[in-house]
Amino acid sequence: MLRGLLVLFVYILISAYGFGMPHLFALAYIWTDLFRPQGVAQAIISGLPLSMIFGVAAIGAWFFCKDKPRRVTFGTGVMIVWTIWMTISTYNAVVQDAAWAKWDWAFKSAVFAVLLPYYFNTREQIESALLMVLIPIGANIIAVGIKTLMGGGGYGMDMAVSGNGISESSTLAMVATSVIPLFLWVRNYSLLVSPAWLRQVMALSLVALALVAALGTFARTGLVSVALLLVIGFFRTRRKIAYVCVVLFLLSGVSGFMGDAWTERMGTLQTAGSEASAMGRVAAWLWTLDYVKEHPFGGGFNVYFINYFSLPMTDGTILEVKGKAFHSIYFEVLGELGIPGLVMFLSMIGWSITTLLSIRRFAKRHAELGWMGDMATGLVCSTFIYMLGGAFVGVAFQPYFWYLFGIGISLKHYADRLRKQPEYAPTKTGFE
Amino acid sequence: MIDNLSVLFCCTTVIWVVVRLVMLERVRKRKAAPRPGEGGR
Repeated sequence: MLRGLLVLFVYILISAYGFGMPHLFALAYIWTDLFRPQGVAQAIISGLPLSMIFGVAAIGAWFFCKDKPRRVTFGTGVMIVWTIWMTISTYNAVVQDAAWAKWDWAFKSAVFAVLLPYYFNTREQIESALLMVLIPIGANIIAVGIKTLMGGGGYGMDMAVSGNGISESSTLAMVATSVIPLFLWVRNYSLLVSPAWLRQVMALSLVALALVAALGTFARTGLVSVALLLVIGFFRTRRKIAYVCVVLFLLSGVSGFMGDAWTERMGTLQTAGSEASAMGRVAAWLWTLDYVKEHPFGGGFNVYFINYFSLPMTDGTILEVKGKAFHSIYFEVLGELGIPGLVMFLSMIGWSITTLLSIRRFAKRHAELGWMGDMATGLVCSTFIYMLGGAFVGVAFQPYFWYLFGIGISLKHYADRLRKQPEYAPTKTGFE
Repeated sequence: MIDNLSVLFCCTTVIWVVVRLVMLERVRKRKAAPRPGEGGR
């Protein structure tokens, strides 16, 4: 009951201000889409189609947003084509009912990724969009992190509180790790989370709990993602020796704290070649490659329902997989949207990274734009972790990543406007 | 208990962020000169 009242108050507050500030409806939609408050507050708001209400409100608000950028970036253009392509491929999908069920949410994520950059034009607005992505993930991190600290965690345990596509163990482990650079950005630059001491406490607690949650899910994807984060941290820090000492000290305690079950599960990474779960994924990937050879335009959403593959194992047995999910963003896109889909997917990610690095270089030349450069860096780090962790989890269409992609485009529009100002215009000798 | 804490964090932080955003945007509107690069065409 109290949860319901709290959630209701959030919506009343946003609706009260939203008519004067239309972008608040977009924030409400992002929050609703990622957190799914209906799942945590059955009373009062149960049965209300909140996503639809705020989705419609956000699209209506789009027409009233002032100072919308007029340019369509390459990333947005490809995203529009990707949205059309996923609809065409769903019409031709092999498994029609399942394909349309997935299209329903994947299409909404894609459409919002296209629209999102046009709502948020100022520093505060871009930050608010980022926070609306981070807060629902943070809520799940708190739940999983504290439960792990109290009970030790475990694989396949339903420890998350609520969330759209982010509460499954492997996905949560990867997502929790990938948002750590953005929590650190909030710690250093946030204007909206204040006062400073609260920002510090909140951000650092979430970083610590995110690491605990990533490991506490017992997902091997989490360990791989954390390893990449630590490597990125090594290259980013100036105090490399101190960093290595702290990391080694913490790592020495992790195995003891997490227990034998965790160590045993992580040890299976070394014997993945003979492990049925890991080789089942390889079998699904090999099936996808065979399938795309004959069907270069893919089989539509959830085409993995029809997969069947026999794989000889190292011990001489034959592993047979049937209806095995892709467990990889790359094979998911390749199997479902074919070669054109994969080309679009990779070009969007590549363009996003290149653009964010360009923003970082631009911001480096102006001390007052440190926030912008570090946000771009945080988004790039987050994308790298998504690309590595995503190689083992099928989350190619989940909204969280596409919202971050849209926030990157908002940042580009903001940087482009600054570049037109005389004080920020590139000098003759300047390189960008 | 822990889930309640998570929901409390999620909702109160959103409320805080929205209130701060509204405050900052009102301050911005009051200022005659906008910051460079923002909202300008």
